[in-house]
Amino acid sequence: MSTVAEWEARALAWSNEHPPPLGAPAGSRTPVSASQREEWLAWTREMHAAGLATMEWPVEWGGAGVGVEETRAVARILHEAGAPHVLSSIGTGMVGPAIIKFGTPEQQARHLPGIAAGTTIWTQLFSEPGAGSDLAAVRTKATRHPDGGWVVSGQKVWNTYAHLADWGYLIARTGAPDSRHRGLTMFVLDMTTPGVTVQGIREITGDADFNEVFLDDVRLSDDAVVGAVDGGWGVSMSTLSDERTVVGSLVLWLQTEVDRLTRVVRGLGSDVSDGITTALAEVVTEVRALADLSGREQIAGAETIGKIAYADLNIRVHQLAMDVSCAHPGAVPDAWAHRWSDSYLYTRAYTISGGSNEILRNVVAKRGLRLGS
Amino acid sequence: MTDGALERDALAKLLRNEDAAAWAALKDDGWLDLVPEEDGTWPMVTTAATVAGVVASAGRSLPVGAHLAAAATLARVGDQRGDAGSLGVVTDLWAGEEGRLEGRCWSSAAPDHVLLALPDGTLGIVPGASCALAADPMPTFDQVDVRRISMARDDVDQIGDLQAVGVHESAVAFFLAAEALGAVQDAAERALAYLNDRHAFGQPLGSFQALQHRAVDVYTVGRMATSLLDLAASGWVEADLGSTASWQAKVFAGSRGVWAAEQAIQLHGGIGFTWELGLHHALRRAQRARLLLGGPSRAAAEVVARTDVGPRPGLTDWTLRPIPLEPLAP
Repeated sequence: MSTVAEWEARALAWSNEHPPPLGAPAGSRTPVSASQREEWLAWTREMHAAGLATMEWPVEWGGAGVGVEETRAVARILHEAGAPHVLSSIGTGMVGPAIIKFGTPEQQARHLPGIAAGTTIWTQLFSEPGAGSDLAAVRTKATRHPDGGWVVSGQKVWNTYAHLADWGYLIARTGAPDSRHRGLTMFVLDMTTPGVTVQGIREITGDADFNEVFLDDVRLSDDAVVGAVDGGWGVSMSTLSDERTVVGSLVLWLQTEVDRLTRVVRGLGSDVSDGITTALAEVVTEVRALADLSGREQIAGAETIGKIAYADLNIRVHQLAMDVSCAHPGAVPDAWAHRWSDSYLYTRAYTISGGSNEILRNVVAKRGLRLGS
Repeated sequence: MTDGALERDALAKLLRNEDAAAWAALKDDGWLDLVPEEDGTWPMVTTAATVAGVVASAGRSLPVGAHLAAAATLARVGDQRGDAGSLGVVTDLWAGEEGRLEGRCWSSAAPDHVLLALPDGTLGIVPGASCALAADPMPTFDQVDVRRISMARDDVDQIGDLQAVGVHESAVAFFLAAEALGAVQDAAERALAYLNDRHAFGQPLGSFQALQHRAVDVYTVGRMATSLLDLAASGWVEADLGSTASWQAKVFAGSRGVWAAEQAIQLHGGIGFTWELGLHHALRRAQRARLLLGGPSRAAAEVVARTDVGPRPGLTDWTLRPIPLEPLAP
């Protein structure tokens, strides 16, 4: 058996034995009650224990050292099973790899086991009210304390799972105010440190899976720095470039929703309108094209074309899914009608997060396609 | 130069000839050889698709895709007429007067044989000389080798069953998409180059954000086209000649491909609207991919019916757990 087939079998067996916490009517992206929270965190830890959360990590840090094919195959099975958002994904996908690459041995020993086990939850503290797509405009300030270490003050926003997180992965300005990307430093932040205040932001979906985080004279020790002081941009870029994997996973997830929708439409036989069939065939085709494209290297500067196209396609798919749900209500389970309607409201987020589609088009045009230079 | 670049150069040189000479050379130099291996694989199909795309990009009236599709089908059903000089395919057929069959045919002006799906669901072949061929009344099809055809049912030999028709139609879908998307990719590249060459208001067109954003989306269509054509070509290992992926490529060519071809013209401004610039060849081929073989509805129905969408056997789909509908308080 190939390793992909082995991992698929393993993921299938695990998933069949581990029902995820019920995610509806609310709570598709974040737990909405204390008991659901505990259930969801426990499910996450069990997924980690089964080795399904850090497959690509090096073996020495709790991973299996496998490549992207195996990881995608497992992700696909979990999406087909209806797995919820993985609460530990910022840790496993971003912070862990950064600490493996840039961390000191002490940081690695301290943080990696908890990330690998899914027992510590992390949040990303990058964006600010004045710095979204323009991350180099970050103003949260870290200054040296006379007794050693740092004092950090500022405000972060759009911090997914900050309300659940034990630790934060923080980017702050250690350089002069106008130093842009050259004066930034990455820190790890214990979210229980005095001066850290987390406030939920309710989204148009009705949920609050992300937050504002206020930092008021928060004390950090020197060993909280990841990489070099003023070297934070390079550290953050290396983790943001794992975006291809993130987009690949999002596309796979979208494909499983398109597949569910196609099964519904197919089951309707000749009852379904020509318009729905045509619109469906177009998204079936485009999602497959994106699934393949997101596994290929793009020319330098054009790496984000997959993310741009995904974000727009995501909206079309969910509009069509809602159209089908209401044109043929008896043919669509309530749970799916709920998921698609909820996901439709969330589609706006993907056109903005990770760099807005508008900014990304600018970047691809100028750096990838060399237009206007 | 790599081998790939050498071949394209050789192909381009050959295409500078007049139509008849170019066609003869394409055949003689082996560019149109497409036969399966013993194990049922088609290693040359990617090359065939590239050839079809290059010829289409050149805007030449050489029905390479039709010939390749027909030759592949004939090889699959074991009919020797695939070795003939020029093959065509009827993509759409309807009943005419006095028992005649009318249709749209993708072929040269004088094909030796033409393949068609008969009304009874069987695969037929008819000598081109027995048919009446005329220019198609829809000007969109001008210069893309689509002609009106008329024939007597008695002149058609049956050579295959329903499955053979499936093979035939998906081969046609594949090459319609390959020619269209090859031409569209070429038009897109030209548009991107033009945006930097052409200046207006004291700056290159490519410095205007609205055009940059449009260009990125056109470029992305080109990348998606590569993915879908590769997927369709790699599907040519089964008896159905990769039908699902071929129909998917056709859907894409006829929707996003058409859009990209339109944009390639638009991004050239006024000069894009001239016959001479030749961008209309990409648009005509994208429309041809959309409109032939039953229009977008037929291809959509094939994609929805054939695409493998699970569910995966043995996997519990937890999303099917019913959600509790909370009763409202009285």
